[in-house]
Amino acid sequence: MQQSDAKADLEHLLSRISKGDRAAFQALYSATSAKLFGIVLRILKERDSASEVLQETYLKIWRNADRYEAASGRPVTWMAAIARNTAIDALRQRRERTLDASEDGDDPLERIADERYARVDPVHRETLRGCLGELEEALRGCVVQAYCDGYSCEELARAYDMPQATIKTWLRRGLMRLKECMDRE
Amino acid sequence: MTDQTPLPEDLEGLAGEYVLGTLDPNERAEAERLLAAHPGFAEAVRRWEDRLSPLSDTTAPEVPPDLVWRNLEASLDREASAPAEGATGAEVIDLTRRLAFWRGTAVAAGALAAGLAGFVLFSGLAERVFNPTAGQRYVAVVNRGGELPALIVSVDPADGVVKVRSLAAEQPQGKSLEVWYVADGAEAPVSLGLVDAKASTTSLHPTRRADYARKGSAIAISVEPEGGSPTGLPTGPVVYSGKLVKAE
Repeated sequence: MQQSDAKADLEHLLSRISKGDRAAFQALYSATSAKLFGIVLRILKERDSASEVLQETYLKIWRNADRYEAASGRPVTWMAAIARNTAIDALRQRRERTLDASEDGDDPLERIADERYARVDPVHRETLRGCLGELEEALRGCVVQAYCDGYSCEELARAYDMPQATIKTWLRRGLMRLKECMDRE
Repeated sequence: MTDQTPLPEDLEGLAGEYVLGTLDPNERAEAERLLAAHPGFAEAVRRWEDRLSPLSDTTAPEVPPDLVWRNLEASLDREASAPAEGATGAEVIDLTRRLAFWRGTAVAAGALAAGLAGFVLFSGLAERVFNPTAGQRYVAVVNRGGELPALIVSVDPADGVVKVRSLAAEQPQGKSLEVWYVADGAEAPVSLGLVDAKASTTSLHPTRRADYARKGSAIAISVEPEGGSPTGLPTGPVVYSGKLVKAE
């Protein structure tokens, strides 16, 4: 209930932003910047570059607000995708980066279940959690670290001490099994 | 639209990996091309974003530094002053696009003046600001679209010194504002120097290439890389402009 309200609010803001409404933009920024900053900071690990990427992300949101289609999902997902893509592009340009395989020791599967972070439909969250749980640990690890921490195939290959081609196969297999599992549920 | 035939598995995988962010640069470029050209692929990407979105929620929110919002506001202000492609903002012209013009052989006199149509009515403000002494002086109230003056440029033809008084000009981060004298006619603009970001008034060295008394001449301010245009001609958008008028 609350979720659909939030979705409607953000959609309303986006539609005003698409008409150049700066006040709506500021409201959208206030409502969502901490979430998006968390996402880009986790990928970039460094506040300065994360701040730059966040800025670029919101400029893209400002310019492309008219391209958000209400029918095609949640506004937060749309904005988070822009943030992740911008962060990943910045990261790949920067290239070298130190990598510690076990991020913060926290199990992402646990956190998916953690209500504190909940913004998504709980059923959806449980579905992803269940389906990720069905994957072998390495496959799951690769998918989660790529998504949350922005690891490239190359970095994953180093972390798991495997050839890149193997990682690629794992990722594809992991994704296909996730899709199959989630579409079934 | 949702019950379309399934994508071939390699495209489905490409879409998923695009969302994960693990594609190599070539594959990523290919995915971006498909995203624009192939609605089925774009839909697959959107579904992957949706499927994996709960993972985003595993990342704790973090309040960004205030600077981000301030920079965003400054960017939007600049954007508002430099209309998108195709728009013909009267007060704002893209001098870069006009360079081809000047290099051409037959440019109608006045074409540039038409571009710099932001004719500023001299309202007496400059006198109050500069409290000019005796002698002729030329002043341009430099602004953009109907807004309050951003800069006031005054020239004393006796010594050729140009003074730029910054009122509300925004100095974009990591960039310089460069001042140009633009003659009414076919000549290229003449650089007068850079606005000192830290001082409220900048004095610029005289140049003999500028004839401030010439009818229809104007002052334009462009955004340039730090330290000024590398080419000697404006390379960035003109954010402010105003005509030179005689101040008695």
